[in-house]
Amino acid sequence: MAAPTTPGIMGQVVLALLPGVAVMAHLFGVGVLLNLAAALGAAVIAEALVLRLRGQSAAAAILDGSTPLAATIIALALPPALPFWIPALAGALGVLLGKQVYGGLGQNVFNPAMVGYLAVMLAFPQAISLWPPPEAGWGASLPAREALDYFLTGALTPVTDALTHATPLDRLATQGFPAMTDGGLSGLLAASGAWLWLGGGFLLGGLFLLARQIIDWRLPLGVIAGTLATAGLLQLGDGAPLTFHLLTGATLMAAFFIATDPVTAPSEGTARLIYAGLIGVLAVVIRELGGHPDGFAFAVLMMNAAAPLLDYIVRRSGGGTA
Amino acid sequence: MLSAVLTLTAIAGVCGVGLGAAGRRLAGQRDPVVERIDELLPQTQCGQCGYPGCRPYAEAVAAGQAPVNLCTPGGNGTVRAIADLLQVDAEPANEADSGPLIAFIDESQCIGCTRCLPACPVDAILGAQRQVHTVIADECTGCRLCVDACPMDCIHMEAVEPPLNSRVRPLPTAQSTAAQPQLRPGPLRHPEVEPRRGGVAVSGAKDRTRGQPPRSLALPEQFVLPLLDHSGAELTPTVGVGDRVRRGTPVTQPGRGVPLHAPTSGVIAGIERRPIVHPAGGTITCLILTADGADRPENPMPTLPDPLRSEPRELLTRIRDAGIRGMGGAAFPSSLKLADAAQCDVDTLVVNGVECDTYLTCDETLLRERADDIISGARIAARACGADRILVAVKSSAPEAAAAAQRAIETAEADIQVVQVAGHYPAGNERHIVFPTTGRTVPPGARPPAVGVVCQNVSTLAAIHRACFYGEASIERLVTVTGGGATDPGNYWVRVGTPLTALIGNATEPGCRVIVGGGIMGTPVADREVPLTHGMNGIVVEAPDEAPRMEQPCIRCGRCAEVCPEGLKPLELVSRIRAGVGVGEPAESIELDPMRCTGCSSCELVCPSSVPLSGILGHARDALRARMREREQAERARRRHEAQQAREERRRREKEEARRRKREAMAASAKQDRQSETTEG
Repeated sequence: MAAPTTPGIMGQVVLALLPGVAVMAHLFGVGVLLNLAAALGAAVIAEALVLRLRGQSAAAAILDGSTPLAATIIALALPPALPFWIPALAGALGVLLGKQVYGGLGQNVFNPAMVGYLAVMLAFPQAISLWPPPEAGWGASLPAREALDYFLTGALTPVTDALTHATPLDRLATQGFPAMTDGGLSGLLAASGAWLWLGGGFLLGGLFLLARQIIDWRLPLGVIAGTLATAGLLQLGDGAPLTFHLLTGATLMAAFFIATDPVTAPSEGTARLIYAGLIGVLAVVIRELGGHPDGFAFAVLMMNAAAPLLDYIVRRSGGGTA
Repeated sequence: MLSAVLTLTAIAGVCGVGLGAAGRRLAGQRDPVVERIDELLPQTQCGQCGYPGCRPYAEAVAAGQAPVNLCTPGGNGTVRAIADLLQVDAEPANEADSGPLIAFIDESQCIGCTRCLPACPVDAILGAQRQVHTVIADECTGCRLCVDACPMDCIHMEAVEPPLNSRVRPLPTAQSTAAQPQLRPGPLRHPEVEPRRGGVAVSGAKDRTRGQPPRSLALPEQFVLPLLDHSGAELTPTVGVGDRVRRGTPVTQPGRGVPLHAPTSGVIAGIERRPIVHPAGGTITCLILTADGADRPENPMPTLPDPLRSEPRELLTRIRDAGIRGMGGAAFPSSLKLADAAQCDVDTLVVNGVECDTYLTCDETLLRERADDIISGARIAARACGADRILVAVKSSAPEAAAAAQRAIETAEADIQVVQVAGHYPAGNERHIVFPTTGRTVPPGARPPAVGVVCQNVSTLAAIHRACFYGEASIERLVTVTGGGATDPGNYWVRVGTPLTALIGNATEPGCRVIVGGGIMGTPVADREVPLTHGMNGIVVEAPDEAPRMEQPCIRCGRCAEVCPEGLKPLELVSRIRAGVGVGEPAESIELDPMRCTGCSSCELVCPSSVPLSGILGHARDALRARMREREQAERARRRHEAQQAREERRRREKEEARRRKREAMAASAKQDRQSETTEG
């Protein structure tokens, strides 16, 4: 087998995201792809500009594949119906504030995709919380025409207005799980069927990456274990069921594609387990007890900041592994 | 209101006391700044800074009364170090940094006035009244104080190249490797690489030269013999320009190691500095030998009557006199290695025929062609070092070599075992070959004799055989010429000192390297006129598709740490070294210690971003070694200076004492005179 190269690794991670992208597009319509195009275009332009200013070769840096990967993750994290400037801003800010201000690929402390996502989530909370209900079938829930209009102009038509509503996680954060089940269990179940498909898409890609030894098994294992353990503990109160936490939102995507970013994760094996586990714990805590609908972006950034410390502690205690 | 104020005051008071206690208890034991600055100074005591010595200058800098850039002998390196220590901006040193300087006395002009002797703060000048003076080069700190003291103006400063073991190879950066791809350190691009824990599996990189019989190379017209000791010191030649030598004539003193022999008959045409193969580049003094074409042999050394029954001492002497150096790559004198092994009471000799580096097939070819010589050499070496067990280690992917060794053992009727090593790269490293052959583990940082094993390369053993049975000096070796750019790949018998151009010609592909050594650990050469030496087992001429990829940013994937056979963390090390953190300082932890890196480059083979890891780690090793040497020199200079001052102080006191005694004696005698006068009167 040929030794992998950095563009090769990034390319395979993007490839592994494709099932997830396909399921997303299938469930939510063309808006996902429009987001992807906007985020990708803005990220590449921003990167090229910064590299030009820094007097470095823009082509080599863009071809290393890390920017398309970050843009893809941003597009998957954003709701599928958005005016174009939001995904574009997320892509550009991810590259600029998440990566280039630190000196480019390999130097960044925080996951660039999460930085970009959180920047627009905090700037446009209203728009980011609007998810159309996922419905299976190629005639996606949001007609392509409407989606395109909304994407280009940002004007909410009656159709889009009607179709977008608060996500299950949103309602979990604002009302708690019992309130959700009171409201309409059938809708939730239908939704969770669709989420199952999405989780399956990410799981497929993640297993591919594990098989190719591109990601370290400790990271997804830690995230899933942390998520399940915390969700299980919260079952003692009125927490949502384990499957709900595992399959909704970004759990599997974070486990396989976000926490596994080697640049921002610790390098010691033990430190990686702790890091990933705490991402899962923090994410569920934020979901259940905090005010934000999904906690993975915050959890990842918090643990990014703690990664060097974890490495340091593990090394100091002599628990370093190869 | 009052209670709130009181509460807050109480809290503030408690916190304040706590902080104070913590500050007192947890205060770090920091070196006083003066000591630390003094440590960075070169201890030349030259006074060029305007202060009467290094310590007074350090005190002035610490007190903020002197700028950090006044130390001329220390150069820019010292200025930077002090600036780093004090966290101020480093202004460059006052003068251009010309590297180390040493004083030279022109002996044709020296009149022996001894005025320079007291001027030297470290007593580095030898001389006496009306005798020609000379400078002890090792002790000279380059302070220039003697230059002005000389009334004849016969002392001048000369730039010297540091000895080989304290040259620091440049730190490779993305810019430097892009600008000079032909000098980029690191392995060739291998298409088939698979990471393993503690190594790399590389396949299919030896096929180009495998299985061909060795060929001989026509003698070139000129040979270049680097006068280089294993320790990096220079060998002293025993011949001068114009002397005639024959094949096998010793041309240097053994020094601390082994002598060098003339590779053919001819005339010494010159003694001059020539470039050599070294990661840090540079030149070294070389003998230039113009061949006469007749290749007349020197009278061979007397043959030992029965080498397999000779005394170990006798064998070691012969192995030294024949100039045998390790031919696996390190070129360490075999007599020293075997004598050291004998002192460590080794019981096993491992014949290293694994040749794990890629592209090389010379050891394998030698095993097939001269297995009898190798087995005989192994028995001699085992006798010389007192080992009673011999194991022949051969890579399992070279079955013909193993079969040849087996046949030779049966012919010799010796009790020797052949062990097939299935290991991946770097299985042939002498630290790593011990476990698969003997089951013993060499502790980190130790060498095989620590566990009773000594390893010898097959080429070395063949040379030992020829030296003991036929009295031949080691002047020839089998070398693999290969690589996609090589016009005539194969294994060649080549005399030591042959310029590489005689082997590989001058044709170059732009941006491609010529590498001496194997495809993984080899060193790129800047100049193809460099001569072949005992340790060179391969010459690889790179084709464009074998050149390493352009460097990309490290994504901290951790593959390097996974494959490192020494358990290091190259990813952490490299970011530190490139940021200049801790370079030249002892490592903070064992997995971040560049001195434990054996330079096997496994990390670089699997790096997806093609970071020149081996070159970066090599730079850190060199820097630390050079720094230690600098410190040692500074310490020696300080001691010599202090000794000089103490001597002068003693002399002054003795003089005073003598004067006082004289005064007292005079006073006493005067008194006596007076007394005698009064008694008389």
